Amino acid sequence: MIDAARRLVCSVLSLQSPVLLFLLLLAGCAPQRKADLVIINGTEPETLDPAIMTGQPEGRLAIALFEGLTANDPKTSSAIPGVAERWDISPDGKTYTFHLRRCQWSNGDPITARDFVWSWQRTLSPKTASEYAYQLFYVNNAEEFNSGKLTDFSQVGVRAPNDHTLVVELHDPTPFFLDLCAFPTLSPIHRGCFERWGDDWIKAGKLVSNGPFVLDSWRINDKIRLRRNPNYWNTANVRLEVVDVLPVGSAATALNLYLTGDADIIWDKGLIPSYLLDELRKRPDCHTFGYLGSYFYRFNCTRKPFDDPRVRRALTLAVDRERIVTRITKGGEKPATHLTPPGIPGYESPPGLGHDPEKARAELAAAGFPDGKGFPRFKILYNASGGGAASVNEQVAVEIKDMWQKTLGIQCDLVNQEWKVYLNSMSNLDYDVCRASWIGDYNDPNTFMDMFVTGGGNNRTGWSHKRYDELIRAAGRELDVANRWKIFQEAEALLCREESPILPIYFYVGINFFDGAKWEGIYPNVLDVHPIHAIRRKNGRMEEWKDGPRSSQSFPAFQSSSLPIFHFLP
Amino acid sequence: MTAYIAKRLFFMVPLLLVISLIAFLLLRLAPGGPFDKERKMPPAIEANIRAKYHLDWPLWRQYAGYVGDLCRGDLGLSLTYKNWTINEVVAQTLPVSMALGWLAFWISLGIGIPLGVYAAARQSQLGDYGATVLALLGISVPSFVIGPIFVLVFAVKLGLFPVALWDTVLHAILPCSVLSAYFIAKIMRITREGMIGALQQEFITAARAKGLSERTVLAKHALKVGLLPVVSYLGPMLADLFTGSFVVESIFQVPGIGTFFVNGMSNRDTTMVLGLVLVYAVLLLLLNLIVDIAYHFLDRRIKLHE
Repeated sequence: MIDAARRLVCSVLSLQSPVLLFLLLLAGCAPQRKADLVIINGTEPETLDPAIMTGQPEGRLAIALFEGLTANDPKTSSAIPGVAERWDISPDGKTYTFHLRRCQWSNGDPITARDFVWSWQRTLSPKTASEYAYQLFYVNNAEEFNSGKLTDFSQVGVRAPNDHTLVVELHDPTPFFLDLCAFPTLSPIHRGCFERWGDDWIKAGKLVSNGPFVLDSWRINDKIRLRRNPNYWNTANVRLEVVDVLPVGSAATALNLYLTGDADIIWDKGLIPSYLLDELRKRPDCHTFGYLGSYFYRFNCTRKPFDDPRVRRALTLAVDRERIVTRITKGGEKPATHLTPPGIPGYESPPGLGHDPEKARAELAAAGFPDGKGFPRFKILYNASGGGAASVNEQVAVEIKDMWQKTLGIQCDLVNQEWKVYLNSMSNLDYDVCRASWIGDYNDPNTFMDMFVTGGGNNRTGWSHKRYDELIRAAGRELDVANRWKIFQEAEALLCREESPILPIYFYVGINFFDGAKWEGIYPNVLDVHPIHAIRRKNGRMEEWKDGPRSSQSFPAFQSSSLPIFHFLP
Repeated sequence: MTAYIAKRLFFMVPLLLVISLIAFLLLRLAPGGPFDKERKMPPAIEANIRAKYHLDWPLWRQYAGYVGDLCRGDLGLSLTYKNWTINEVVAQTLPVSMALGWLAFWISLGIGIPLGVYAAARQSQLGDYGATVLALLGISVPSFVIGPIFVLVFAVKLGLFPVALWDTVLHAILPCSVLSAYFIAKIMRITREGMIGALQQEFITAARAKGLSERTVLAKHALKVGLLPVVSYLGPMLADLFTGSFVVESIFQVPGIGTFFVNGMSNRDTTMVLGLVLVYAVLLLLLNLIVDIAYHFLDRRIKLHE
């Protein structure tokens, strides 16, 4: 017995079992059919449940698997008919009546208005704990139901008078409500599927969905495979049968996969190495476009000397943004002197404080620090651990430290914190100056401007200004678009020219990599949203995405000079 | 023997509890929580989320609940990957890391041991120095340097292997090679030391005096003793290899368990980190037990304390 055991140990040690290891290797990784399209989508999705998801990689998959009342136009990303083929809006803008098309779930069940009522109830239920449940707070009593103050869902402003009509009552006219309806949080989910499988309902083989694709397989951090949904109402216009979506953690790996032909598209900017952008941007398959995001610094207005607007203005005036975008970010980012990025239709921000060393020194002297004398040493806080896109934060901080030192004669130290620690410090106002960024939720200045109202959860500067709060409130009440823009312009001038609790640095760009000679249907838009069902391989003749058999029918879109659009926080 | 194994297994239980308690407290002491994002959520919604994951309970109750689930073999739901239980994550990713580690294990032994024996036999000669320099390189050049160089040379330039992903056996070659570089060097060094020690012992002199060839002396007599230190290193080495490498996994986009360990930490995904720490601890303890038993069979002088 002991001899046998010894022989066994010896045989394992004597390298006689390589056969074993190959068997082990092959298990679980049998090669599959090659996909029609392989997309590098960013990090592993945290969930595919549309009611729970919050990120951009998740959102891009959600619009492939689910379709809401409206959908995103592949070209402009604004709302087009989805499950609702048309809708009526009451004159006061508060009641929406959606008329649903006769369409089916992937298992053949009909989609009814009751599916929407039930799905929204699930999203709002405190038990679901949806982080983005507030996307539904525009609906009457939705917030009360979510916070548990109201337990009777029939009092929430959504009802289904019959199978194909959904009536939604809002407490205020919400100009971007149709765009909200395309947002994953408002997607319908299949009640039977959820009730049968519970938390497991979203897994491949169980999930019943209603979008252009169904979930074929999902191996965590390996691959998500989508397959065309034959029961999708517009499936005739979906050209791709099998699509692989890869989560990739490293920018160099993503680029290698793309360059060697293992992937067809990279559409996550975080997965493009910024140190190579000079070279990469010369390639014809590199597509850059404006994106609704701002990169800026916060000043801690509760700490001396940053409680003095003259100091904040001096520091802002001393920064040469042009140098930062040409030497560090290199992706074609636009230097920023104001907060709201360009690209919101009709709205133009007033210019803020540009680069002006003379004026900067004058402001600092007026604040009592001529040539920086007596200015306390302070710290710049940023997050640069984890490498990748975050390393840019460190380079920007080094550059700005240098500019402040040279122009104003003031000294500062750099403090790098891990992501969650940094968020914690920022929320607790435990910093002097810190790096920050903001991605718009919808295509309207409000998504940027309401951040800085007194006591706002995302203010994080301690800055408080009565007039600013009044202006933001007034903009929320104003129905006339031109007047509303004027109010926002006054507020933005106050924020970025006079008070300067923040230092705008640059506006983000979106970057997609794909071969335009091979693929079509991927269009640049400020939300960086690209529905997969619109993508097709070029067959020599141009074929564009068609909005289904009913596309000729006109639909009563909301009349507004700006059609606000919703989108995801990366 | 059976009693010895039972005793070792029994003492694993309190050990694992202590490990999980320390890991739990460390994670909770770290600033920032699993649901902190660039964007703050409304307080009512945050309350819903905290309630769903019982983060509103007192710490002792949270830990007690965790241990209760643990007794049923349930490692809980990930706080980041909200549709996956830790059991599912381990079931999907551990086999990948184990396959990768298993291959790297044999590569390390297959190259490391002969190299170490060779170096010991040629002690203080040119061959010994050559092998030692190689080992030094293997230990000191990190995998995030070797990895990209291998990708550049063997995948991008020569096109012999795919640059990344986990699909066929070909996909495993490069990550395995990178993963084994360190362990080849380590095994080589340990073998060399062990063999040099063994070659100085009297029974070797006796064997040589009998007129045995140097080859027979090395392979039949010295090796068995010289390899003992290697055997004791195999347990921690296998545990290390089986639980994956964050760097190698992210360079080659291998869906192994190491990535989840590291990301779990930065996401403050308490259940994920706790679960994986426990998996690692169990692997380490079991493999060490196996090594101790193997030791006994290789060298009868060593007694298992019962």
